[in-house]
Amino acid sequence: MTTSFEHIQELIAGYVLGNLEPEEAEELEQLIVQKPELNDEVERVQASLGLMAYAPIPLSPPPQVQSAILNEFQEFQSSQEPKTLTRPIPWRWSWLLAGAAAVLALGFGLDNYRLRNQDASVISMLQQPNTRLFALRGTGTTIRASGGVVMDLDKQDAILSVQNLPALSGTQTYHLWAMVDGEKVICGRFKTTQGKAVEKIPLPPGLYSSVVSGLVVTAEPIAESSSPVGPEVLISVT
Amino acid sequence: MNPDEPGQKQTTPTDRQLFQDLKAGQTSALNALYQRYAPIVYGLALQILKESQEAEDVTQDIFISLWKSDAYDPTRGSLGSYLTTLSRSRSIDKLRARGRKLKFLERWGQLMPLDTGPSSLIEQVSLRERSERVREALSQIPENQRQALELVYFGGFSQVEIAQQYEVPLGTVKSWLRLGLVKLRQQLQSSLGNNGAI
Repeated sequence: MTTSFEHIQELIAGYVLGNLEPEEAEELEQLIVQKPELNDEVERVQASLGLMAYAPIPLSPPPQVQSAILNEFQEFQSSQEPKTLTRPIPWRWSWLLAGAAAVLALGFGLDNYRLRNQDASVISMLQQPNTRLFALRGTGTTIRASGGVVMDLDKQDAILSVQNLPALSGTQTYHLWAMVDGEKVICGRFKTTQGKAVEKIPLPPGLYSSVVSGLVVTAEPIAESSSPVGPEVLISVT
Repeated sequence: MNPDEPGQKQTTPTDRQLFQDLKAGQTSALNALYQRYAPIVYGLALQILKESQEAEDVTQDIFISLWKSDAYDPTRGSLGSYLTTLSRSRSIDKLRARGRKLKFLERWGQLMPLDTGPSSLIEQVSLRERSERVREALSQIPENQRQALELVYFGGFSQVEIAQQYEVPLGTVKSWLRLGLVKLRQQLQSSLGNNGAI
């Protein structure tokens, strides 16, 4: 006896709806064993049932739904990229004091030709509203080292000046890092001559509006280190 | 016709492209996907919940989950299927929270999408047109069968509840549902004018 196509369709529909009696389920199972192509029909009937989801007339939600979703998206994105913060930099008087120390370091410690050439830049930077000043002091074996950094976060430039920092050999390079949310973000690299260096360093875009809590200089074994592995030789004084 | 919907223009980004861009953090991709799918997601949630605030919450949760979770895998199914399945299941969750009896509906909830795959014919039809074709197909189904399907799919009613409401034997309701689904499948096939694929 041949099972009619209509009956098979009903069994498949019952299977998809989940309302087959046990004997019906067994019958369909046997039919599928005989005709594996019926599996395709099962999928089509499932797809048909799923398309009922499109039956309601599409309706745009109120505008506040999209606004809320966008806000959530932007908050999520900024939380994923802590190194490219968009928060404005709050002014703190303590930075001014640190800046004074940095200026002293620049003025008294590094009287060389390059520094004199940078004087105009430093003065210009100090007049900018979004300038940060850091004094650097040596640590460990470089306890005698000192220096300072002036950062113009609007122009994304910094001027670094250090002294009593031994020259490194081979590929070894000093790296300047900014501390942002507890992480070190690379700012630039430099070498010293006769223990001194004065460098103008372009700041990375991500640092533009970041809250920099401090600076660190490390001696890295390779010239282009992207994460600090070498010892800290200078740290900022706050 | 919405030009942003899939299959309308060759220059229109696909769902998969937009999803990748969304995961990469592009706000424009989120906006495009929202314009494309929010009316479907919200319309379905509203149909089930009959309450706009809850439907808004469902819509918001679903879109946020798109970038916050890894639940959607573009290689495993279409975005449309994923979003409608999620809209329905989240709405049913809220119905359940209201204390509805959902034994039968829960079984339906286990049915997975209805995934027709990204290359299926229905995916090539715009969302608006798809919606119209499904409504047209449903309208061709005998009244009792269509209502039984809708009561189960959108209302969360059990077969027993439907039998009591219509004062007919349970077997009759089962038969209505099966015949209604067979008819829906035939109508959708006819609507697409092909020899079997949906």
